Amino acid sequence: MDVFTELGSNQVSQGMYGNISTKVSADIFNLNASAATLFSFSKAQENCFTALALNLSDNVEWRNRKFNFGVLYAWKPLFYGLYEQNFALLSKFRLQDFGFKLGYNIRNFRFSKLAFADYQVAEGVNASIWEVPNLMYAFSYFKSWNAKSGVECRITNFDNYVIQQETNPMFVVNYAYNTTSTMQIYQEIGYLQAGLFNIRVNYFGAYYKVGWVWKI
Amino acid sequence: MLKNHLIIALVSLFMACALDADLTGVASYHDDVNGRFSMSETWNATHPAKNIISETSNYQILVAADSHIGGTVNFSTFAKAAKNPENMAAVLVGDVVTGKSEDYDVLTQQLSNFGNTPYFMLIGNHDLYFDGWQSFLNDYGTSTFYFTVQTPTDSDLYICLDSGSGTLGYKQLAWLKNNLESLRSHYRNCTIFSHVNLFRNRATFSTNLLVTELTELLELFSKYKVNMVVMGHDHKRAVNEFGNTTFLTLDALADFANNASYAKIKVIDGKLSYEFVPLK
Repeated sequence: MDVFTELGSNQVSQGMYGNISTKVSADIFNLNASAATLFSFSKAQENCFTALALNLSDNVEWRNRKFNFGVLYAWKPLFYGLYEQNFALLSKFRLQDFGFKLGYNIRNFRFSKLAFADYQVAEGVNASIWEVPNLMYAFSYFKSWNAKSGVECRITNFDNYVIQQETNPMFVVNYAYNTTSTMQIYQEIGYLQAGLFNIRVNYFGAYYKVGWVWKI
Repeated sequence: MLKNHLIIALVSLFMACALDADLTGVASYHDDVNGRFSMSETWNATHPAKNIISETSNYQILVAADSHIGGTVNFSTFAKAAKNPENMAAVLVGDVVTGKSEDYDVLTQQLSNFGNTPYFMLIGNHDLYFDGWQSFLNDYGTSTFYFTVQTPTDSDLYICLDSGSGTLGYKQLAWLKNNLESLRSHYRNCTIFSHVNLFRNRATFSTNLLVTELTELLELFSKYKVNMVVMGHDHKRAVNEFGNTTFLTLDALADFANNASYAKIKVIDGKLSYEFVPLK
């Protein structure tokens, strides 16, 4: 089980926002399955329940190295009648000091039938829009001081619930401390900028996250 | 697909050099979008929104993107077309120049060829390079504004946004919300112009608005029945119909573009439509 709370602000949030996430994982038929939910609180967002993410993954050994391959699905109600879906394939690979995640996602925005009627959309108009496949990546550097604590510095374009476009990376620093062999607390700060690949960057937002992992 | 991304990365790097990119923009944002918006609002406070009168119910507006002056061959063709009195206005949807002050000077000369047709200038990321914001501010005064076209029976609203930094920023977003809330119901059609395109229609290394901001805009466009969003940046045309809104991404107008074109935004019998006009 992984529970975290997050505080942050960005150009859209109209002040501070808060997130609360709960993720439950289990091994089923040699596969790791997880389900996660996100509740958000901000002036900009009317709904509190903002995401459901499902993940199924498996470890594969190839040339004496362990890889993890997974499929992800995320459903995010955005506002009345419109939701975002993400379908993703993700692989993970870990060396002693470095970690790599690579994958692809496809994003879809869709209006519900009810919303289409309420927005008085003409017949024959698209209720759904698909974007082209988008590269997902995370490059991490790990530094451990002892068996109990360590830091991860990461450049990535996704987290548990948000998959940004491949051209919008964020910078993350995570500190984890194992209180017992089954329990871990962690803190994370993240920084987002806009326009990097347009060669005209602009600050977009930042967050602070504190979480707790319990291996049952 | 990964191989494709690597090729695109190399081509993009080459293009960044070929298009005179100002690489200091990777790390510095001294002309951030919230600051630009404040300066634009100062200008807007003394320059009311332009109301263009059309004597006929049907009319058209010409719109072009990514002309990347230096080169002026295609831009001259566009200027000649814009001069035609049947056009109520011409809109240049960003990346009009390379950002260098000498290219702003070339643009000023070119704009004299528009005749009596009013023109409106959006800012793109390239226009900001080499401290281009100062030239843009001196020459055009504002990068966030709206104008209206009034026909004998109705009026249409056109909103121009500053997305040159890959985000609208919280100030401009609040401005957009307020204007849609207070103005939209008084106008028949509403069109929004932005340099940066909203949806990723192909894998490129040009950056779009972050997903967090895109979803906020989709909400506004749905809630206030925005009819059309016209964008550039991607250099390749794309049309996405989604809900009540048509999202139109334009080809580049630049001389180096193989697919150079501009578009006519037409209002016929009260309805908005579009037509691409190829240049080659």
